[in-house]
Amino acid sequence: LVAEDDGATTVSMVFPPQPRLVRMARLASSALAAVGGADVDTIDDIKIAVDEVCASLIEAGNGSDVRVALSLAGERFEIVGATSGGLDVDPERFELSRQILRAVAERHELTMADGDVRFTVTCLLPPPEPDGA
Amino acid sequence: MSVTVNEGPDRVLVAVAGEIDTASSASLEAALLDAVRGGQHLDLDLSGVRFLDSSGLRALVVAQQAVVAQGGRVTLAQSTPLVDRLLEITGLDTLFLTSGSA
Repeated sequence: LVAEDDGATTVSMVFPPQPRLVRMARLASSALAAVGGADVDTIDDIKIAVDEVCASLIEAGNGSDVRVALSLAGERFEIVGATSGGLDVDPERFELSRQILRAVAERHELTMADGDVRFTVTCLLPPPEPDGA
Repeated sequence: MSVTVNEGPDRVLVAVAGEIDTASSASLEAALLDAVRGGQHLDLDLSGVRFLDSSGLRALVVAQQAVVAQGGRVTLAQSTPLVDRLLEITGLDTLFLTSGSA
């Protein structure tokens, strides 16, 4: 589902917790970032961030669908991913994942409430170069 | 993802190509552990890797630990900027020799 509201473009996806479907989320994030004018390196970072969020949600969830919303508003690219469950994940992989998110994202947050696990990750697109640069 | 194994008497070269993510990392881990079961040193060619995430990194670490436990060494023979960056971000670059340091 693609929606536009108040200058933000949001791509929303709901998919079963199957690892092979994470690629779909990566492709969608890549396409949305390209629409926003992101360069190749930034697109790579966003794909990595989306992948890490989805991988952790699939591992953490209780079999429920994974819900992901990708929002582009100006230079701000936000990833919100959630599922039902706790955080029963491989701690060593998860620590690697957090280190990666710290490097590729401006900020990232994990919340657990009401039986849901939710990641909110913000990446910034570089400002467009001025004309003639 | 594809994995190609070239086995020698003392070293085994494993070339990995494609996307290493949560869907493929278990296969990679199994392939690496199978490749090094003879106790050889492991040379990794990751130049064909187009995508890598924490699941894939974890598979590499498990293989590295298995090789070291058998007295072997793991060398990163070829890589890509993306792989190098993720290894550096996570501090795992110190686990692997590079072809220049082997």
